[in-house]
Amino acid sequence: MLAISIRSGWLRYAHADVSDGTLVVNSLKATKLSKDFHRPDLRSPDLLVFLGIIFQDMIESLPVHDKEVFLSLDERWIDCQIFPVDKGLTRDEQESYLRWFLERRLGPLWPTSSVFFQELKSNGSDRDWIMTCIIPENALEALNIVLKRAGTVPVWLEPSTLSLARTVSGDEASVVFIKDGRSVRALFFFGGTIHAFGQPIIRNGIVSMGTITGDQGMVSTVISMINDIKPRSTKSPTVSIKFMGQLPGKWKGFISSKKRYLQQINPLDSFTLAKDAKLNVNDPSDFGEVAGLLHRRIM
Amino acid sequence: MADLNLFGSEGFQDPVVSEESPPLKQEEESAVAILETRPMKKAKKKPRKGKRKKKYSGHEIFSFLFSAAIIALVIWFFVLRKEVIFNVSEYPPNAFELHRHANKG
Repeated sequence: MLAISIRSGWLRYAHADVSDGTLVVNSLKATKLSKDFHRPDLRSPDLLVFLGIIFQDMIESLPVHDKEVFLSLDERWIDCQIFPVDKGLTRDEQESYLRWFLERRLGPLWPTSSVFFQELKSNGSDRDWIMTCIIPENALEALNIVLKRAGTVPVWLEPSTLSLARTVSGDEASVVFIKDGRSVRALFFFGGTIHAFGQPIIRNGIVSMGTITGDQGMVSTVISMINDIKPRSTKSPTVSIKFMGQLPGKWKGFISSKKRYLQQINPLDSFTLAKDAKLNVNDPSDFGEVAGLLHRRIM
Repeated sequence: MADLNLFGSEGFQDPVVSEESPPLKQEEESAVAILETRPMKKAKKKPRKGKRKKKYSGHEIFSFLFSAAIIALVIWFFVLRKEVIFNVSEYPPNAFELHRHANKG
């Protein structure tokens, strides 16, 4: 199988095989995309050509027999949000409401967008939470065409956030800070299910949220819990706090001051890596989405 | 866990294995079991990379350029200076007069 991730101008991929009862990663590679692909016009007819350029060399360099493609794309491609709906609504009512709401939100882009929903497992909130993903029809069609033309089978497509969530989630309430270039992402889980995510900010050692989607009440509680941790306190927080990658800038101080309460995640830890795969990986945390896709394959 | 497959059908999706995904083989199922039971390795502490040390300091680069300039000047002085005329002699007015009369004569 091929697990491909496009995030923040980078194309990262893994080629893996199921061998001797385990998933073996044969190669891991990362390529910086040219600036033309950083913010592609997803509604342009030229997108097919752009995607062809991105995928052609990569797919040609891999063994022919690996046909399944699992793909993860960042928010430049897929708009992913978590919206609240009233409790007690039927599935049809929820969908009607969300479609009505999104139509107003997207305006003229609505008729050419594909939308996908999934209800999240309840977290005790007074509302239900729906994960919503929107991708332009043109982009979806172009991805399908390009991957099929390359002789592969497009099996799975999801937003980066969900790939990362699969990699870092546990069974408990947790928050995970993830390095994303020079910024940081935060994912909030309850009962192993993602309930909010966004970009946190740190100023004078105090964490706050810059942008956020999902259950804001839960996020506020978790963030205040984190800020209340005293460096020498013996009381451990009720929420598990994790991080992935070397967080940049002022986050370094945050990590070192709360070291004893934090758990570092290596996304590739649970996979067997072939010798060549090991050689090509500098920072395993960059392969969080790829690891999420590999997990998806063996689920 | 939220599991939305955008290659799947539009609208609401249930968090189950996608229809397009081929059914899991027995060995793959055992792989899942192995992965689940396998103890998580402790994340290896990566040694912190300090600030990358510059190969040459500004002072060294300046010294090199300065000495190269001096060497270039020395070479120019001893090798090429013959092409440069240092003393320009001119006819003074009286010499010009003498020169003209001599030519007429």
